[in-house]
Amino acid sequence: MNENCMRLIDYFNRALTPEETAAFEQHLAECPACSSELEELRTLTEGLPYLSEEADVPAGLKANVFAVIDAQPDVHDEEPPHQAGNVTPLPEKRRRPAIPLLAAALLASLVTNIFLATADRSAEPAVEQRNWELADKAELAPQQEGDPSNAIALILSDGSSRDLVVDAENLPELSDGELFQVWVLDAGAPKPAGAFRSSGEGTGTVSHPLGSKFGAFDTIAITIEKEEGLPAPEGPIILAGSL
Amino acid sequence: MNHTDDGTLYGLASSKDRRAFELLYDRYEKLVFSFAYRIASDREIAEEVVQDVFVKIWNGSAVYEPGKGAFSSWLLTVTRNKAIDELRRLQRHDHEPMVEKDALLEQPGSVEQTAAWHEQQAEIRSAVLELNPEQREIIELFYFRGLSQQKIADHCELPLGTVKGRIRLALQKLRGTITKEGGTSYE
Ligand SMILES: [Zn+2]
Repeated sequence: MNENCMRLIDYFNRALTPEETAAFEQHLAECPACSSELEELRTLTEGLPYLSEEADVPAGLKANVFAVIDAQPDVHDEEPPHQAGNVTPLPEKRRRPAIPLLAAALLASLVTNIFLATADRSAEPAVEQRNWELADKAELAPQQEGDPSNAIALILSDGSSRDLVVDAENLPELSDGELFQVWVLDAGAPKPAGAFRSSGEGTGTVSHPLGSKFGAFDTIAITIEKEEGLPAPEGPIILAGSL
Repeated sequence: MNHTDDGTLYGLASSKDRRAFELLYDRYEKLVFSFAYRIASDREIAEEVVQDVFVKIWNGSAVYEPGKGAFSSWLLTVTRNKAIDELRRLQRHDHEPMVEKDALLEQPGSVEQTAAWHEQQAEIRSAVLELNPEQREIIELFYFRGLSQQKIADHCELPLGTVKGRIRLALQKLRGTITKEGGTSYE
């Protein structure tokens, strides 16, 4: 029992600051009492939404939602699919075992299906079989003091083409319309290399094919932008690191 | 495809199958909207919640893991989280909550509701009747208002340290009188 044990209700009701939330989540992993009480709260409240009265849904709601969806940039598709077999991108959605697990698994054996084995438990279409090797990696560090964000960037090669995989956690919250843009740069101009949005837990993963136009680079950075694939960064740099 | 289970539709939708996504949307639009409205008491906020929840599902920034329970339960949790966040962002939480006496007891809804929802509702409603007014109030403040522990303590005039125990007790009693377990699901 410590002061974190007093925060279960506020955690459930999202009344904690981001720092307190992070501390509580850490605590959850270490405190069986809290994690079982949280599970109990979830189970016991499962039926409560059905107490809601049926409300009249506004007529234009569905049209609005689908208009937003149709206007969504497909964050994985800004590059033409590469020839040597298109790998299902690691969408932002497959991120749970976050960085350490994913990175460790990639480092350990580097078979394409690792993506599925480590990170995806849903029935996704099978990823094409390609053997990846880790060509390089970089740890990205926050550029603002006190920011808990971190990310790892992996460059995977199958001999003929390369992919950049970025897996980030503790990202700051985006406002509507914003996204995280990955950049690669050397002495020359930065080039956009994949964009993603984060989950509610501030994690996100993106993989991006590195076509011939990318050439050599030694630095990888993540900024917040209003639009993906801009010619140059306009928003603040959140994370950066060198290969 | 109309009778396809939620999990399958979700799997298809997450690989950008628009038709599957639309079926899922149609299946849950009303429930998500009604639940968000129940929390926020504001149609505009409820609309925003519906939009946010479904757009996040479509673009993959809200992820359902089939191993962790029914899709509907996950969807409703995401809905509640967003509705509470919106309320808090608009700082409506800082005001003394206006809780009508026995807000947890409301008039039965219309028969237009999906049969599953209606059935579940009837069951929970009769369980709610078994609670005493203090228990109903604490569930309302905790679950539907999403108040902090401190605000619940203030409102109910309880010592802070007893709030969690009171909530659990009320929920356990409610659950104990519901025979059927689990959320409504098409799975
Ligand atoms: Zn604890």
